[in-house]
Amino acid sequence: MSRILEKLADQHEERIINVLYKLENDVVNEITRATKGNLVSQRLAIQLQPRLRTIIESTFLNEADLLINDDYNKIAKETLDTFGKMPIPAKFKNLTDVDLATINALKTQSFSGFEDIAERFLKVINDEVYQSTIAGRPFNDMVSNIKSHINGVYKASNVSEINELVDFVNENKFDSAKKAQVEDAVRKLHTQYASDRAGNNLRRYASQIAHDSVMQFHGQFTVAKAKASGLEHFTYTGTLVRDSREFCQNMLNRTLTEEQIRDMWNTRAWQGKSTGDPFIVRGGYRCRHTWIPTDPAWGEETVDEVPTEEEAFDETLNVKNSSSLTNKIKLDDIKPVSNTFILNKLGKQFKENAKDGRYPDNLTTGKPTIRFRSAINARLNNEKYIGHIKIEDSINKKRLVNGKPQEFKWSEKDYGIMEAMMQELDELAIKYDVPKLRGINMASNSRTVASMGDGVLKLNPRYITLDRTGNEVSKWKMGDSIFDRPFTADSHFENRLDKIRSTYYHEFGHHIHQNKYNQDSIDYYSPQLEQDLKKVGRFKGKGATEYSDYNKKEWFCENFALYELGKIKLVDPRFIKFLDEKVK
Amino acid sequence: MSKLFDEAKDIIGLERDLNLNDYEKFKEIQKNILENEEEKFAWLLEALEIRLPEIAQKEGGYDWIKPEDDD
Repeated sequence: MSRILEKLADQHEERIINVLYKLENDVVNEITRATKGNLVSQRLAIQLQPRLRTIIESTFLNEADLLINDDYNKIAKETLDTFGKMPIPAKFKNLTDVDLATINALKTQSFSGFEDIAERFLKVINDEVYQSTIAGRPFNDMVSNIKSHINGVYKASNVSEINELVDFVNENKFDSAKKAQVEDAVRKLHTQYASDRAGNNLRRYASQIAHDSVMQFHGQFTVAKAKASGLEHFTYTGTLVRDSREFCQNMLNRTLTEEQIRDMWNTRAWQGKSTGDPFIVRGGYRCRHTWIPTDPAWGEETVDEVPTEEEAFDETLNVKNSSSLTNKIKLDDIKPVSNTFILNKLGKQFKENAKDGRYPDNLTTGKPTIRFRSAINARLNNEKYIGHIKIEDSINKKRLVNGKPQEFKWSEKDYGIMEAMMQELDELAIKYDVPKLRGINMASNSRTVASMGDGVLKLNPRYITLDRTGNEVSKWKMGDSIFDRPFTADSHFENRLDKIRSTYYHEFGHHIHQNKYNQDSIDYYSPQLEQDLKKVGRFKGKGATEYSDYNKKEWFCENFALYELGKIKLVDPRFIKFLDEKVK
Repeated sequence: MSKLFDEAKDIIGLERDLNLNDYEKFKEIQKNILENEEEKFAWLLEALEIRLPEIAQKEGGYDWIKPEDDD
């Protein structure tokens, strides 16, 4: 069962990748035909928009439609065959009218996923054409950018060596025996396109959605059918590959009740877990496993215990303070966690996050590219920094309290906040398509309130603890005198957790401008978004805090924190425009 | 805000890339900052930290960071 699904998922991904080359070709041909290879005028840019839409519809969306209408019936049939072998009443083995309605609804839902990304990238391509008219961008540059928006570094090239690399990757990407050679070819492609910043290309999203839609359609139809049949037990089924998640490895072939599965999803975390229903998202993005219904009464399966933390989920992968962007944890709900817990838990996460390919390696040394002083000092001193967590209490030797240097200590509640905040920041990383953070660090004698660099968050217990956070709230609003603005964004929040949260979010804003669109070391040293920020016009006196006036990066981060924490009325409209045009 | 604080603020607000002179001037100011401004100054240090790579790019590294300034 699962092998057929895996094969279909791989085939769909391959077919979508192939059709993207036709799309790339058709789009370039249409633009070349319309412009005769010259600069595009604004009038022509607008005229081209419906034609580009037609091309996307007739290639990409048409292929998605074919995949869904042809092959999803096969998936449904496989599901029914599985039910056909079960010792259940015959009425549950057949295709019912309800099943048909469910299948059609799920097909529509799957297609809308393809439509969403088609619409998104149509806008990207239209914007590219239109902006080229305004910027006077040479025709060949515009075409190259459009190709990158569609296929990224896998775009068609005039250089035969590059095309050979692309062909090799496309032909062998599903062959596990050639994984190392494929990875090598991908690395070479990224080197060839060292200046290509098109990180968010259609291929990347389309191939993932093609794969996951198959598995998710199966998951949804199977669970619907199981519920109709009164089956409440499920076995985690599938095969393991080299990079299967630890979660999948430990869950494989276990039989659990629906209640056990849902409870586990709500209380535990693992690398690569995605949000959503456990029967649909399963292990996470690109997961190759499925929940197959069963009944212990048949004598084939016994109900397993949920794996203990020791055997399946390291205790540190438990979520003691669950939080998300849509359901942010409140101060009263914060549970204290130990120093050992937070060090182990986040340490493991950061180690994994550091493997994200969007953090480029230095091609000569093979080590992570770094540009901030703390990371460089740590490397010079042979100290752990990237993929590591270090949290120390702080001492101010200059200020004496009762004859002793003043101390600033992290509490177990502060660690609980740290646990919760990292979940929110991970979601922000996904939302803004930047790598997740790969470290927390702060030495005992630092005077900086907090900082961000090289994907490592620096926090200072002199300022970012519950103990050191006050309750003062600013009543300042847009239109009031700018001289009455509070100093920083935290003053706009009432409770201490939100104040601390605003600093975490502010620092994450720096992570975005430092890492968005980076594909290689060249980007890393000169991030695209930082170049874009330099071009922002008047910003002083426009933000809701004094600190947002100090420079454009701080303007970005102060507004980012207010924006993401729902204080939209306090956000500079120029920031929202910048975010829409340059970041999202 | 004191005059010294404003001077430090102006440094981290420079539109051009920061240079070694800016850094040294900022650090001199830091030595004399008033106790009641330390908390806000901690944010200026944040802004400076974020901009240090501008200087490192010119200087070819971070050799110019004095040991006592290390975090």
